[in-house]
Amino acid sequence: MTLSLDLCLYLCAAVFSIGVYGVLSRQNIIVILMSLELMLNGVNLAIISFGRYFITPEGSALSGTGASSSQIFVIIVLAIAAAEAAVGLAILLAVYRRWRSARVSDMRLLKG
Amino acid sequence: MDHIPTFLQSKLSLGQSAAAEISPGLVSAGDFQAILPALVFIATGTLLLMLDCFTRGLSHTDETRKNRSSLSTAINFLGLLGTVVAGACACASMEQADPSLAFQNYIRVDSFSSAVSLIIILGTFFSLLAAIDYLKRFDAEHGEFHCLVHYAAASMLLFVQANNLIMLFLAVETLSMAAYLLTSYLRDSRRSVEGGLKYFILGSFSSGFLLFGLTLVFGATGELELQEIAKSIAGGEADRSLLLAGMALTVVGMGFKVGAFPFHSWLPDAYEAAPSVATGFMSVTVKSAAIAVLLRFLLLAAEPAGEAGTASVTEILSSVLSLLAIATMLFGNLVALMQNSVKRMLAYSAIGHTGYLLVGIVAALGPGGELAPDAVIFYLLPYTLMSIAVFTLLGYMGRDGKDRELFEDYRGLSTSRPALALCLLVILVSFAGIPPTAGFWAKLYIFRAAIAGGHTWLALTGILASIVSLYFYLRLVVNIYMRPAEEELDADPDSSLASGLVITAAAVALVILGLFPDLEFGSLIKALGK
Repeated sequence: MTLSLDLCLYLCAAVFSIGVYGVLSRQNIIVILMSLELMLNGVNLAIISFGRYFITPEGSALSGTGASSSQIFVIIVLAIAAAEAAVGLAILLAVYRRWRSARVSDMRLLKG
Repeated sequence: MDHIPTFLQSKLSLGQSAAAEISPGLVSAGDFQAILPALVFIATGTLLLMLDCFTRGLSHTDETRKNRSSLSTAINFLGLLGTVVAGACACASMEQADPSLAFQNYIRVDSFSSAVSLIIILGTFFSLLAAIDYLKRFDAEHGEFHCLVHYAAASMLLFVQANNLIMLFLAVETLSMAAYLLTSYLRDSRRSVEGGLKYFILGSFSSGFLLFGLTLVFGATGELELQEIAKSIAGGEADRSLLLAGMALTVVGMGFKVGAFPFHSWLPDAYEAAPSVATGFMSVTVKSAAIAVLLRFLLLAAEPAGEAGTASVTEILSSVLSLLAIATMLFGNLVALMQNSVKRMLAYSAIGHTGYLLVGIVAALGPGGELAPDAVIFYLLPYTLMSIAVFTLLGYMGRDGKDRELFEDYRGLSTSRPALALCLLVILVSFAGIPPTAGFWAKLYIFRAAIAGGHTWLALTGILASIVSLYFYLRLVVNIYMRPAEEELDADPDSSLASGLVITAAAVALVILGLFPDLEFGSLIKALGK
């Protein structure tokens, strides 16, 4: 059984939206970081499904260079997500040292 | 591909033959030459970080303190030297007229990317120069600052040279991460880390949207290379609904990065929280890079007008962008009216300036927009000078680990520091866009391009917004020149030479550019290969 591209994309959109909802609704910075990862991973699924879709059953690329590069794209996005998490946790540590708290609602020095 | 300006068109045959000749996995020396300025930045950044690492942790005796200060002089010097070398490399690559591709078409060097690279390198140089006194005064001289600025500059150069969606996303993420860390650089200050955290969350959030947008564009066309995407769209092979969704999400993501109206909420906080020199650096270089990439991306991915009755993707995007531009100009300038803090006022006015740049992008997308890309690039140059100079001044006025941010703090500056006040006057007048300065020409070219493209309403709104902006820029001038000081400004700390140099150089350059705009403009047009 093969999944259609549409179904894959719906799944990606769902995972991405859960991530967006998490970022917007959660107070705990750790959960926000996890939601950010979820967003990127949702997109990763989309990249993989597109890459699969552009390869014909015989294994040759349907069009252009995109199909073979999509796997590279996914791996690079994974690496970026890891780096982003590292930067986020570093900032979180600095924040925690100052506030003794990891909730965004505690931070209201700046007006925006 | 007639709708794409000549300087963005590749010699498509050249690109293909080059791709055919290179066997996969092979990297030639020419590839490294193409990204030489970025490599120089990465090398100096790493060197400075190492230098700082291996010399830190000595005990705080008088002698080591002395060593430390000579070490930080060395770090400053090396940092500036690296920037100058990178600038020289970028100048050298500007000489070559034909666009060249490198790293299997992931990187593309052309006159457009070289011109923007030069502006970014100029901004980096001025920021590092201003950072010399600022960091000393705030007792925050660590090698990380220079390292982060260098890495950010390197990734921005790669960002404007990116010719592939993978490269584009990789570069934008690297530069954003450096920017988050620069914002929270003063990690003992609550404000700085809070601003950094907010910037990080919203910035990563927007990166998610940007990545989703780029992925959908990839899905619609089946290509990752910008030139191939352009061909696929121009040939009508792309899936329209996916393409529209992808382009819209890309615009949302980039809108966050440049601080356009509904996506601006991170900007005032990040600008206020970051150390002033870092604010100056981010405000100009990140914005220049993002605006340039947005412009190139939208121009390349422009869909030719379809059959009557259906709007093409580009037309839809262009009308959305013009709404964004109007909202951004009005919002930025109106909210800036209400600020009591000079730094927040400048942050909101930076949003307003993003609006003017968006007008230029909208004009470039429509018919008759040949003037617009040049106008946008020309706008970036005075904007870089003004913005860095004014944030340098904020840092220069800072005392005892705090910025002096209220309008009242600037009272009587004209008596205590006449030369500085004069330079500041020039810079603010240029910000407001009043004639004999470069800011006037920058706005004039943008609005002229908008009117030539038939976007009269955009130009009118822009002019209105500029008139509004007169109020808050001149409010600072009034405080400097017409109000007596409540307290004497204390004597200069030992060195403010570098800050003074940056402010003076920027003011002089603005006047020269203002008196002879054709000088620079002509050479830029030539540089753009027209």
